[in-house]
Amino acid sequence: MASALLPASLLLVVLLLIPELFGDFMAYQIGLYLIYGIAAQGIGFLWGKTGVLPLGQALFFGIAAYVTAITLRAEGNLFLNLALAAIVLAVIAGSAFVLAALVFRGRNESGPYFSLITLALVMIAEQVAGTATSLTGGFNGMSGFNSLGNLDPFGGFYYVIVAATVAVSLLLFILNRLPVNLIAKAVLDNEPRMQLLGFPTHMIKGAAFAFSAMIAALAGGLFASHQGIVTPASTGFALSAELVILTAVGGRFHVLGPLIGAVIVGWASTELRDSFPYWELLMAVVFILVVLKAPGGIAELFEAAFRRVRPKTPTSAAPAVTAPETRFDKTPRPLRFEDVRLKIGVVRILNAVSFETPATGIISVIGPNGAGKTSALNTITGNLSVTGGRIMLGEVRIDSRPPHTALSNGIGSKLQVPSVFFSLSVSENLVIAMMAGRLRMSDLFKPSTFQWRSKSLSDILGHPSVPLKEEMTAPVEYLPQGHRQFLEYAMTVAAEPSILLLDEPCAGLSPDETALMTKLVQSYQSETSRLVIVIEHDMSIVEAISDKVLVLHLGKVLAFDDYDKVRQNPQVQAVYSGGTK
Amino acid sequence: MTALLEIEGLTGGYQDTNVLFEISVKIEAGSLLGVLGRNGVGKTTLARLVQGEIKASQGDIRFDGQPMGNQPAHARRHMGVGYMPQTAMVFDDLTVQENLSLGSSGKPPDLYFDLFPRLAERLKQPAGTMSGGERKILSFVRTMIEDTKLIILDEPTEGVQPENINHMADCLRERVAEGAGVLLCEQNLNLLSDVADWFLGLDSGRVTMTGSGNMTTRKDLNAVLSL
Repeated sequence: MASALLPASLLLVVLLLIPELFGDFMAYQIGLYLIYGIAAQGIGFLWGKTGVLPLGQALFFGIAAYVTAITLRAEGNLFLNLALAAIVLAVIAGSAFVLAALVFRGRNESGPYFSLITLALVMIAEQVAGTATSLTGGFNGMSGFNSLGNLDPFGGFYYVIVAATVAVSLLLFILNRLPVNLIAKAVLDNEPRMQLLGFPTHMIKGAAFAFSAMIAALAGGLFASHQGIVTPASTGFALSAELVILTAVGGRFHVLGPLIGAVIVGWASTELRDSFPYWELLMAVVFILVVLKAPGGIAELFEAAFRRVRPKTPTSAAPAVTAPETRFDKTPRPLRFEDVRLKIGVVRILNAVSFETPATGIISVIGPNGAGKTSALNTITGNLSVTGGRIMLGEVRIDSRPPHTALSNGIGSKLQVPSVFFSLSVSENLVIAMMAGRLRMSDLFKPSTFQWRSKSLSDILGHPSVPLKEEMTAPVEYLPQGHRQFLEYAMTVAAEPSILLLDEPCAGLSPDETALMTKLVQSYQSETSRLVIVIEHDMSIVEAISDKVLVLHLGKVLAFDDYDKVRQNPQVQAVYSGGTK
Repeated sequence: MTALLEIEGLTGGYQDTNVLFEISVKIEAGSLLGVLGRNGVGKTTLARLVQGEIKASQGDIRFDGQPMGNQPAHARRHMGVGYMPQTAMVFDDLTVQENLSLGSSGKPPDLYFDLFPRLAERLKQPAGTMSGGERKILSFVRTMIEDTKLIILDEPTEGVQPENINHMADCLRERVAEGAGVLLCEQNLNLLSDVADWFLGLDSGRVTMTGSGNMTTRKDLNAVLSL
């Protein structure tokens, strides 16, 4: 964590020098910008990491500001005030978490609807603050209270703001270096894959929103104490929009970006307001230019300039540590489809599909395009909800459950088109996969989690022909499709699932690469004695690996038997002959 | 006679990293060039450089005698370059019929409906309800019926059942007979052997093998793909 202390210490020194160099009035002004900057840091955390854009962050800022004003006006002692502040923060965080988790439940993208809901909430809050006169002072707001601890806003209170700014920044710097940061980035990159790796993404986004709401509330409390007045504008849409602009201009991907944005925009607005009549127009043009030319904001420009002077030096990978055991039931259990039906719109995909697999072995699923093969696998993971019948794993019913629960039943899934984290490197993809099924809450905050390695993953990476070893630091975005197939397979197997679902793992592979993938699948099954279900068109592979073959046609089971019997089945021959590469 | 596509000394890749180096090749009208190689050798990069999705760092691309290297992808499409990317790109919320009508030359796709009857059965259904293999076929047929002179196909057979791969070969032969040039990046040797007039083998971003369809043996092709 030493690397987080350095930038936080530099920030502390710079902020402490401001009253000495520029005087108390400037420190007062900078203090206000920093308060907005803290709130914007919360937005940057949420927007930059998870892709969720909150348009109503002033809701939390304003509520905390009003509560602070009410408390300070009551003139209780400092201890009681701080205790109340903690309770308010907890209530705000809890409410924000529940709101976001409920909105994102059952979805696998962030979409604009959540932003619109936060926008609606802040507009309601502003209306309430303006009309509930007995509680909020109405349009005129609340004033006539002293600062927290009776500190002078033009003197000692500046140092409270500095302490809060440095504390929030240090916390964010530390989080950036922990597994929780990688998880947030992975949610932004590929939410469906995260769910299949067992991560409840709606809870993760809910927690991120709650954290950003707490930061906004902290800023709101400081604002009330600093300004000595709270009006409905403190909980309004205009302030929410301004905070988003500060974040975008400063840079949402960098801890200090929102602070930089707040100070620069705040200072420029104050300077220009009296000297240049069209200052708002100028600020709007600057905002548009920054968003278009530097999507990462001013902080990105600073960082790029810094990297030109001092390029990043590659760090050597830390030695691997044995990963903890996955925490799901590994008892071999048969998978049973009982009269399973699936209909999407008017299209019947599965029509009364019934079969029961053995508890271990390799089952190949074959059939013409559109037979329902992929859909059948998707009903097992919960990516598709059945419209009739049920799917049993041993004695446990598993159909129509959210996809993030599949791995807790021991089900790992590799999809037809490789689903990996494109913006992350190969090694970061594998780190995320290693956490799947193993992670406890405390592991989110331990750097050693990055070093986890399981035997199954080591076996794959140790194979001389597997192409990933030389590509560990490469962005997956530029990886060829075939290498993504191997990466996604390695990610799926890293959790050592009891049931491994593979949807055309050899698609896009050359004959030699196909043979390699086939060997990897066979090795996994023979070493773990688990159940593997694989969709494949290449009959030479099907013949080589299958204990049983399931033939689907028009959403129905045409045959489920040994390879030779299936091959000789006249009904199968009539609809599907298969082939080889 | 001017070749339909002339590539001379083409070098390119992603960001600052080149993946392909000094590739030179020609495709005549009415012929099919099969590009093969293991994963990661630069097949998709070649397809994307010719289609215009990424820009070459060096070299020339001429189409119908005209320089094309500086043209954006949409301009190349207007010049007559069609493209089917590796991951099937269909419009999920549009019906199959609407997908096929986008960019269509207006030519009735009856031949394709005969070969791929599932498309005809699902004309009124959203493409998003189709399976992966069916989406791939839809993407292929849409590329085939566009009014283009050069067709670039990046691994069209991925996830497609063998019978339909044979039908894809029929479609390719038909378009080549009509005078189209085809650049086919593929690892399915059965298909390549069946339809290619010329082969271009790649390894580590460089040309390692060229040959005509008649003279190149299955052993030659296997050698290019071996690990």
